[in-house]
Amino acid sequence: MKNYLLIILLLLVLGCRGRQASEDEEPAERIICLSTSHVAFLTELGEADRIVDYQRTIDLERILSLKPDLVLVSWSEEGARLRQMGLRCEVVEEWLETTPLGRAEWIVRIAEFCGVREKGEERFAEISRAYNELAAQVASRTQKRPRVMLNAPYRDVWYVPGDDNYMVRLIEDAGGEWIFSRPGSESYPIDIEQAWLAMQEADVWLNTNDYDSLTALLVDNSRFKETRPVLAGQVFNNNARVTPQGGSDFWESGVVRPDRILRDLVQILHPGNLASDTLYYYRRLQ
Amino acid sequence: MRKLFILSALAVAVLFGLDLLVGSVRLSGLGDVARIIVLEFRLPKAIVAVLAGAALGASGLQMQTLFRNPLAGPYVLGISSGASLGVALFLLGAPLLGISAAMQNIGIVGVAWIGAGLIFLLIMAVSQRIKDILAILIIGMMLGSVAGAVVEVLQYFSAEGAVKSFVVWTMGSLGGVTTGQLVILTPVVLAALAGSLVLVKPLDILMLGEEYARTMGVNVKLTRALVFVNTTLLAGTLTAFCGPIGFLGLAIPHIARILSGEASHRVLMPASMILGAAVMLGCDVLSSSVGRTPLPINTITALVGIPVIILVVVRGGRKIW
Repeated sequence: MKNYLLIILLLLVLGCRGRQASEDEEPAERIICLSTSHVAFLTELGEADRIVDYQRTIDLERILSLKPDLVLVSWSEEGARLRQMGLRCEVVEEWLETTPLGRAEWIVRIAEFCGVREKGEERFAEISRAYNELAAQVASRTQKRPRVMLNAPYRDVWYVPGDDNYMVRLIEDAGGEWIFSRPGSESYPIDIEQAWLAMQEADVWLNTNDYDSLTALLVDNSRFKETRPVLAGQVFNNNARVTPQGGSDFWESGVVRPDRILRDLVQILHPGNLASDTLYYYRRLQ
Repeated sequence: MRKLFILSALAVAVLFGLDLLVGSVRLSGLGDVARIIVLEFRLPKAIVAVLAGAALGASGLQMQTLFRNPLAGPYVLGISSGASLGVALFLLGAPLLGISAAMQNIGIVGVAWIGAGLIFLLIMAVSQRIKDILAILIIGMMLGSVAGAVVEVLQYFSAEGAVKSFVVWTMGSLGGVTTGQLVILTPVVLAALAGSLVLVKPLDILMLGEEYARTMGVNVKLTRALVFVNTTLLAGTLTAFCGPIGFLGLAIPHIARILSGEASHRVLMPASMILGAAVMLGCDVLSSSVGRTPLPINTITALVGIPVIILVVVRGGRKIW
């Protein structure tokens, strides 16, 4: 009897080790995503059919019932409970990257999970080539850098990003100047008075929260009616494309395709410099 | 008594001026821009502070008399929470219903009145059966928590942008009131304040007991109904546009009682309004002068209001009541 138990125990240990060892190489066929950006990476790779579920908040029972062989989480603790249940979790921390290409580069890691690393490397090389070429082109031509104001207030609080934020990098690479320069990568709140003062100097106003028309934006923020970007019609929001989940595609596929965002921004800041003039993520608020 | 009114009116004037001068932008050397900042940003905020303070003082005083409870107030009785629930339903649901931005202001204040009114009616109904002061307060808090729980469920299922705007709203703000909202806020609050002043005599008599009031020829039902309308308008409108501002509604009438030493509404009602305006302006000056960006007004009103409330509780309530 004791021997049987020993053998079973031995088999279990070996079995587990075997699984553990092979898991790193075996491509994941059934993936659960806990962030929309993970969905975007897989879609860009053409591997979206591996996604069995996307969850905004973890539904443990549903995850177990779907028997995934990989769960993508955004930070380590998010997967703690799942690992306890014996599920394979991988952390995708693209949101911590402070550069647009740094975020997009996570496509290589995601490709690795699917066993298609080469494909990921190829896609990233194409994306970064497109991005860098456009940025270099802008840098060589640009003389005047339009000043950009970002975001819109929630009542009288206005959140703005620090200089190391990836949105600020995009603006700079597109030949613009972020008007509210301050070191750091975190966003911080400023008072509406300060924002209004900065807006007096701005040429373009971007990323106006959820607003999809200038009228709605100005009904809530009537004091900004007379500011330069509004008078010049230079107000753009990044919500031209809405995903089935109701979010802006800018924060989904835009994470993987900073080259497309950059192209939009160059068209906004330096119109007439590119062959085409259709915006992808952005739209001019009317 | 006259001295108290003169001094507190003076305080309102000084703090009003100070509120125009203090802010995150330094005005010196800005010229024309400084004028716009003061007129477009700070002046509306200061006006809202005056109206909000007066409204909180008047509504708190009327609730304390109506429920014969020194610890009653729009916040502790859950009436602000009822308004919050209405606003949450509206803010988080408006994008789904496709309500136009222009209609939002009227919508927000409407749902806040309904939410505040419903909780108020519930509390009034309960207080008919239960005479225990503390029990009423606890039920008020429970109702507030229920409204809070429903709000959380709503938030859980809402888009991120809507949640963020709602969370900022719950922190309370005087400066977020837009011109379109001020146009609604000002006449409604002024009308309800005037209504409160008209009610001072019946409120005085009501203090002596409903039986006595009846023999004095006061229409108790009508008085209660008018107090209900007044306070719902005051608390609801304020909550709709400034967020739930905590504790001042409860504290201000006590500050008025302590400073005046009076129990009559003829003194307490105007005193609560003027002192409320002064305290609110003071809170706003504090919020704008501490730190790089203004602190949420709710944190300041809690720090100012709660010590007064504790003082009232420690002193047993009765001495001043």
